[in-house]
Parts: sequence; C-alpha cells; structure tokens
Amino acid sequence: MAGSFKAISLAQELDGLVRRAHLDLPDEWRATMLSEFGRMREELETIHRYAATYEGTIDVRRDITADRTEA
Amino acid sequence: MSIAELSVRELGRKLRSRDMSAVELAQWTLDKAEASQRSLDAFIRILPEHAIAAAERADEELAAGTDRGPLHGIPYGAKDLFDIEGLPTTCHSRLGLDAVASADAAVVKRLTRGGAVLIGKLATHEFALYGPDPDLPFPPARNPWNRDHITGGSSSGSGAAIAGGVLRIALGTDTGGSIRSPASFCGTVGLKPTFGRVSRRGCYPLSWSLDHCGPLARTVGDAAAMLQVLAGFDVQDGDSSERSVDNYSAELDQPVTGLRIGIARSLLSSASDQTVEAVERTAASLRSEGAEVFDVETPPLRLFGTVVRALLLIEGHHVHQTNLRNRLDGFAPLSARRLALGAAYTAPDYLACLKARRLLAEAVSRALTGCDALLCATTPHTAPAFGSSPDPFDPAGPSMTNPFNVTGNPAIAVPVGLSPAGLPMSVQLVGKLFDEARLLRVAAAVERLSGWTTIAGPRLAA
Repeated sequence: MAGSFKAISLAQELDGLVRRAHLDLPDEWRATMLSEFGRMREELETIHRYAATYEGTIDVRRDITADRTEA
Repeated sequence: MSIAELSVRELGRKLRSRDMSAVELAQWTLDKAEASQRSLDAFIRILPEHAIAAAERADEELAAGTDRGPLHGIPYGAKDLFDIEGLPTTCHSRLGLDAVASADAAVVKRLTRGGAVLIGKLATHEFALYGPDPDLPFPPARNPWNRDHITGGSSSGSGAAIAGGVLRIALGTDTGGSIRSPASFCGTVGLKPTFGRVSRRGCYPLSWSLDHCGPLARTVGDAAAMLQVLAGFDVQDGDSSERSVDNYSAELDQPVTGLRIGIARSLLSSASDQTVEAVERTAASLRSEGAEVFDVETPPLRLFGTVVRALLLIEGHHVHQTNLRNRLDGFAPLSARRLALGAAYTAPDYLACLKARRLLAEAVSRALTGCDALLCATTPHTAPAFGSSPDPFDPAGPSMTNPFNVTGNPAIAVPVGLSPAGLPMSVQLVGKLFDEARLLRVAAAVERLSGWTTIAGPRLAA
C-alpha cells in the first residue's frame, strides 16, 4: 500500500525549501526567517482565497496594462 | 533668486539667453554636490570631468543653434542602479563595487541625447531593497529636513539631493514605491510612470514584473520636463510600450475645473490622522477650484502589499540566486535574509499572486472609470527617525505605494506642506494608464493650491 503525504511543521517546510534552493544560511537567521515565513504563509492564504474568487483562467503572462478599460 | 530656486524651464531660459553657461551651471552644481556630502551623503560618486565635458558640449551646441529640448544643459543625478559606461553600477552593495558597465542605460542615453548633464551617481538601498542599512560600503543618505530622519527609499540619494537644493531632477526606480516614498519623506515630487512607458534596459533589476524607472524632481513642472525626455518605446525592453508620447507640459497650467477625482479611501487604512487630514485638505482645495471629488471603492490595501512582497522576493531571489548561493557574505544581512526568503514561495503561490494581481488591477481600473485621477496618501506618516523605520514585512503597516506597482498605473507623490514637526507631508495621485499628461495637470494644481513651492527649503540645504 502506498504511503500518504503528511503535513510537516513550518520549520521542516522552511528547512526543506532552503535546502532545495541550495542555500547555506547562518544559523542565527533561522528564528527570524521562521517567523517571517510563518507570517508570509498566513498572508499568502489570503491571496490564494482572493485569487480563487475568480474561477476562470487568467493569462498571467499578459502585460498588466493590456485589455483594461478605464473609460 | 538663487540658482537653486530656478525651475528646469527657467534654467533653460537662462542657458538659451546666455545669462548663464551650462559649464557655469554644472560647476555650481558640482560644488553644491561636494559640499552637501558633509551633511547628506546623497552621492555615491560625483563625476566632475564627465559633467564638465557634457556641459561644454551643451554650450557649444547652443552656440551653434542646436537645441536638444527641455533638459539641454540641465544637471541631473542617477540612482546607482543605472549603468553608465565605464563606471561600476554598485547598487550600493559590496557585490557591485567592481561591476563596471559596458554601456549606458537606455534612460541615460535618452538624457544624453536630450543634452542633460550627469553630475553623479546617487545613494540607494542595497540592490534597491530594504533600508537604510548601515552595514554597506557607502553611508545611507540623510533627510535634509532633519538628518536624524530617514529619506525613505530606495531612491534615497535622489530624494536627498533634490530636497537639499543640489539638483532639480534625478533618476529613480520604483518597485514598490522607491520613487514615491523618498519623494514623500524628503518633500520632492516623485513620478512612477505607467508600466512600459519608460525603458528599464540597463537598470539593475529587482523584480521585473514590478520595476519602473522615472523622475524625482523639485516641482511637478520639472518632473514633466524630465518625463518628456525619458518616455518612449525601446525595442530592447520587452515590456516597453509602443504608445505615442504625449506633451506632458501642455496641460500643466490648466485649472482642474470639471475634473473628477476619486478618493481611494480603502488605501488610507494605515494612515496617521495627520496624513488623512492632509488628504482631506487637498480634496477641499481641489473642490474649491471646481473639481468634483468623491469617494471610490478600491480593494483592501493589505492585498496589494502581499502581492508586491511575494513577486519582489520571488523574482528578486531569482535575480540574485547565484550570489545567494556563492557569495552570501557579500550582501548586507538584511538584504540577504529577505532575498533568501524568496526561495520559500512555491509555484502555486507565484501563480496565485499573478492572478490576484490581474484581479486587483481590474478593480482599480473600475475605480478609475469615470474619474480623471485618484487621490490617496503617499506614505502613512512623515519620515521616521533612523532606527525606528517600520518593517516592510509587517502586514499591519502596508505600503500605500505598492498598489500601483501591482496595477501599473502612473502615480505621483506631491508635497503639500509641513507637519508640526517640520517634516514634509505628501499626497499621492494616480492616473489612468498612459495618461500621465492629465495626472501631471492635477498634480500641478495640487502643488499650486497647497502653496508648497512658497515654503522655504530645509535648513540643511547644501
């Protein structure tokens, strides 16, 4: 039987992402970065919810000034 | 009237009538720049030989009947993010000390073609990120109104040199407010043009989807003159617009009678009482001149801030990835830690932010429909003291300039008076896409109605 993915702690998640980016960061930064990472994840949840208010697809590569009406 | 009080237009008149030569003006400015370093640290590098050679050319051309336009013979400074051939583009970082540019940035080429005279390269925050940070190879610029207060950033030297009476105009960049924030704190005009209006080629990137280049200036008229030279299509900048360039000075003297101005009240959520009062006073003065001023709905400020932080750190991380892996010690710790955090966003985060960006931009376009411009504040408060700067990562204190990096609309900071503590106060006006001409007309009216240009400059002016 295949195993299942499990939620991991914020600290494990940050460590994994930093490792994946091949960064070697001073240990003394960890506490501050972890706090900023936690706040960032909370903020991003708001953005994910906001983005989900529009169900259609959006061409995110389009110039931000294109196809906007400001009559 | 001293030279420092003459507008770009008035200086141009003197140069054309031979009341003053471009060399005399350049030398006066170089002397002021040098003297100002003792108190302001606005310049990373002053360029006397470069400036005098350019001024001599400007004089020779005027004598021969060649007039290159509104900036012919006018001194300017460039934030040290812009490439100047043969000089390092330090980005105010140890990592940039040896990064000698092989060509001029597109906007520098435009200014040279327009006859402007480069005086020097100006202080910033490291790689236009957060600051001020004392742990850098050059000191942070100081606010001419009070040296114990920050200039705002990251076009910090540009703001300090203009407010300090050294320059009338300077180049800045704006990814989340880096033109408008120092303009607000230093009491200058700062114009972030529409995304795509001014080329970014040869300017060190921070976040390519949010970066803008534009002018800081003493007055709205000076900013209009500089934008006239900066604006235009650049085939080598993939985001550059082919739209025709308007005459930005044509409407400056027109009243705002009949114009419709929307107050973006949701964007004032973190403003101090003093700042809200400045916005209300501005609204009342516009009404008194016949403008129709009313509230409009815009999305919550914090959504814009989150999108800017995410795009800036994701794209910034990508830009600096190699140095983050191999030369981490070259960065100041504050920049490095923040850029490293960019690795912690995922692809779904990035896509959600880009999608949210489009939704936010469309919401602002709806608010602008039926308006000639929006009115809000530039910064929540006046310039904080060194050491007490608010954390840009604090969601409780989101930036008021971020929204228009998200939407790409043109936005201008205009000083409107001094606080009881003697620090400049500023409002922000926002225009429709590529309608800088109308935006500048409203800004000129706000500047005139506020009486700002009659207020004496800071005591620390060089």
